[in-house]
Amino acid sequence: MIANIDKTNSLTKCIVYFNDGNVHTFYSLDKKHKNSKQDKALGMRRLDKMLTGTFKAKFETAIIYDNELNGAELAKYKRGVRVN
Amino acid sequence: MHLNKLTMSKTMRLPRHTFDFSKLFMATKSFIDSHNESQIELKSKLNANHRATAEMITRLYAKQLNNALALGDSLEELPGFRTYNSSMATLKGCTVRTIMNHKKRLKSAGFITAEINHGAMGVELLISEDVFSLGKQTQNYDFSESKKSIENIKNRGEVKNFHPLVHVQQEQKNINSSVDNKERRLTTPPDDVTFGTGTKQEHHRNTSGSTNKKNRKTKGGAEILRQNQETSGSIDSETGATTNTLVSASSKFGNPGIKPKVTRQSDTPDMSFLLGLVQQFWFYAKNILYPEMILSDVENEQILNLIRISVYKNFKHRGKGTIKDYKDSQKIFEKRIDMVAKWLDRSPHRWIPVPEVYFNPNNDRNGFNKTYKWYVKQEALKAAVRNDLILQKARKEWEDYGKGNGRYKQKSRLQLFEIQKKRISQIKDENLNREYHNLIHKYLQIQHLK
Repeated sequence: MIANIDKTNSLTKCIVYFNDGNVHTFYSLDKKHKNSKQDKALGMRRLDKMLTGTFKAKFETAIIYDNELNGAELAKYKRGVRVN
Repeated sequence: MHLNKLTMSKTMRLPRHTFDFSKLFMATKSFIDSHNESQIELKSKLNANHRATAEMITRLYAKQLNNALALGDSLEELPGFRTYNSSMATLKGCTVRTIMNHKKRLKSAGFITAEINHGAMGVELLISEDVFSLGKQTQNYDFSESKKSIENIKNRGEVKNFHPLVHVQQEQKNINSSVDNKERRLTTPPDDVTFGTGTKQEHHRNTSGSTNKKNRKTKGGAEILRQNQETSGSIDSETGATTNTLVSASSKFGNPGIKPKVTRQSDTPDMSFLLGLVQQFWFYAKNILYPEMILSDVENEQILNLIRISVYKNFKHRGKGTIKDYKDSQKIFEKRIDMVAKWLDRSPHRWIPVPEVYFNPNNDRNGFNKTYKWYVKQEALKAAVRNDLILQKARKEWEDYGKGNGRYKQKSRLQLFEIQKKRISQIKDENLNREYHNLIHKYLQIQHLK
């Protein structure tokens, strides 16, 4: 059990624009266990896994941002493929 | 009314106590003299060195007390002398152990009455009341006079705020200084102005480095050189580790070993060079193994860290390898990447994991580190093939020589042997050398039987 799972603690977030018109924001889980140090690359890898696995062919566009106000764009996916 | 009060306070003379250095030194001298007179044994007497340490303590302690008085402390009870053994040792130009020995002698003599250890905050020495006491050695000090004398000091704006432990000796030694030391030592800083110690800035005198630092550097260099001479040839960075294993592997196939190398300080690579190697390696590996992969800066950084730890072993033997060694090992790493690429090309069913798994130091199953065995095996095979070709050539030459044909038909048997031996010794492979000798013996036996 990873303590304090909270979207405010996440380092990155992913906004997914689904084919059916829905838009959802997913927040990364950046820890391996509750006492570990936050790992941004790990969180991004998990979001990548979600986009290229679970949601493959279900979304039009997905963008990963830094989880802060006006956060920088880190990665962009189009129809299940990473483009940037 | 208020104005009157202010003018009154300005004109009022405040009596102030300071410790007079001359009285204190006299008291120290008389204390030590009387102690020496009372002692019969030479061992228990205080010698000139102990006397010097005692005088140093007196001087510094008086300085501290005077500073405290200048800052407005009432000093109803005398505080101890706060210092560090190491700073006293530096000041005196001896080791800490000497200072400790001197303190022990001064304690037994009664000059130091007690010592309180404050750990990282240094030590506190309580000095005998015969030397330091508020009533005996203090004198009244005219505050307004001191203010006047401060104004007379040249360049009073450009001052350094030396630590009291450091600057006292410098002041005394610096007889060429244009600053009037006598006047400065008598004055104390006024309460409302931060005046420092009143030492003039002397940039032209402070350009050379510390002698201690120089000594330490030369010692370090000598130590490094000595270590290199002792561990000659054991180059053991990641490169070194690779080379060593390769040497041991190749010695199986007859390599007599590499000549010992002495690492020079100038050849030792710095961290920026080594990190550059990591980046170069990742650039090469990404282009060959993961050409279509898009990675963000964060992911790249993580992979570089993993490569540094798993492939380069975190440069834990950084001081032992030279730049050339690292460049050689870089070539080996690139060869290993090429081998992986070739292995992948052979079948479409073959795959390697994503970079963060492939270069993970904990990946024993399908990580990059496993390719080292491939490399050793390949190199060993190459060496074996090369040896076979060389021996084949040598056998052919002997056969041709026996028939009176070939390139060396005009030479004697000894000359042919020496030519071949010279050629083989250039390869520096012990196994090859041994096999060549076997070949010669066999050839001679056959000739003898004929």
